Amino acid sequence: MGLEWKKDKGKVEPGGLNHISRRQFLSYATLGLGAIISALIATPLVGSLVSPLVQKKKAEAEWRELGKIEDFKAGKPKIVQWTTAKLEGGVMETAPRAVWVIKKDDDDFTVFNSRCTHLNCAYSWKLKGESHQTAYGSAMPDKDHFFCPCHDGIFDLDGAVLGGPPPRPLDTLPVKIDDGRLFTSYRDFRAGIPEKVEI
Amino acid sequence: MLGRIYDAIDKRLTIKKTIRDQLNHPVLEHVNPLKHPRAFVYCFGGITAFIIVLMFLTGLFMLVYYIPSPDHAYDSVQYIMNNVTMGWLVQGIHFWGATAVVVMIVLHMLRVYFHGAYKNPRELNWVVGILLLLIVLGFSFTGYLLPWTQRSYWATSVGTSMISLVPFVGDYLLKLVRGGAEIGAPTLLRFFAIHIGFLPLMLVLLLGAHFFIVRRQGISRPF
Ligand code: HEM
Ligand code: FES
Repeated sequence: MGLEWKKDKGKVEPGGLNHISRRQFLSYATLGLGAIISALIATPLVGSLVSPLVQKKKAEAEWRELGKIEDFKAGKPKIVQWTTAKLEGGVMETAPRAVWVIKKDDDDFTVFNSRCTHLNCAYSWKLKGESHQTAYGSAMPDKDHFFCPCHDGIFDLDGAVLGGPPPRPLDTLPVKIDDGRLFTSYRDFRAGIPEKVEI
Repeated sequence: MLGRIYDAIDKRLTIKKTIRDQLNHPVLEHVNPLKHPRAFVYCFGGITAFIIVLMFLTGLFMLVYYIPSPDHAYDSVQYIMNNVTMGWLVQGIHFWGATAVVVMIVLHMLRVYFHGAYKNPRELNWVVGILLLLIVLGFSFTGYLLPWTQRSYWATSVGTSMISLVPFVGDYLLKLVRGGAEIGAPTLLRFFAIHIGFLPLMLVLLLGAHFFIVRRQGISRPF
């Protein structure tokens, strides 16, 4: 029972080719109007739901002080943690932040985002031969290393991947030394991909 | 495609006939505004129902952003109004709809009253209707507190303190309604739970009864 409209035929006869019953017309009209009204109502509803996709992320305070340079010992990674306040959904909330600081020299620092590049777990510094739990019983390297407990991701002091699923080295953050104090600019990166992409 | 899915379902459940019958239900001439313009008063119940659908939908979508806590309620509502994409429209429909529902319900009641449509055998639906009215007023009262503005706070403060004047048990009732001596987080959570949980459930059940009775008995004849 499709619509049977023919523009060339002038005459309309019941049951004829260009005849559409009153009933059919009304049911199409009802469905059509219903669809339009539903679309009108759905627009703001769906719009509000997908709102996070168009919200802009506000930058965190540019530089964050991590401590005096003599607080860090060369070759001994140290984790620095703080909480940051951010406005989310109209609400001020706190979020944990952490970075690993690796000192080579008084003017040579590396700062890593503390999240594993595989799927964002927190990793820690393990000494050579230190016994600890693993996810899959993977063999540990014969030197000090960063270890991610979620899927046995292993990185060396420079952040290079020594083992496990992480697709890229640890993410370095910008570093600045000013008046004997160390600063970084915190940011997060997409997990699970070989490229380092800021989010 | 859709037709074949419908056919397959019908083969198992045989619902086609029931649905056809419902869709074929004739609109009686005396309630059809196209035939008699003055019959628009028969639309008031349906308009109320339509606004209620809007209230359910807009409320549901605001629930995604609303935070029922004294610390965050106000900010989260401001966020809906000022930051969420088209949130001002969703919130606005819910806000004005709240008033419109009450107006339409009253008009519907007046229609039923002046047509004498509440008389035997439709007393039952009048009673169901009164319950619906009370539920809608319950929505209004509890919803007023949720944005946690000065106006919400003090209106609820005044509104709830009335109950303390009930002889003997007034103080207990007040504590029960507020969830404590004063208005605070327990009050907000109570009102929130009632507004988005208890009342919607009751409303849906009673609306079902209301519509079922209307269909069963048919709309009353002109008097
Ligand atoms: C949530 C609110 C309500 C909704 C959505 C609603 C909806 C409806 C609808 C769609 C009808 C069909 C006829 C018409 O629209 O006039 C109806 C009939 C009726 N309603 Fe309501 N109603 C509501 C509240 C009330 C209230 C507050 C009362 C009275 C206290 C009431 C009493 C009745 C009665 C007695 C009928 C039968 C009328 C007849 O057969 O002519 N309803 N209602
Ligand atoms: S999250 Fe670190 S290895 Fe999977």
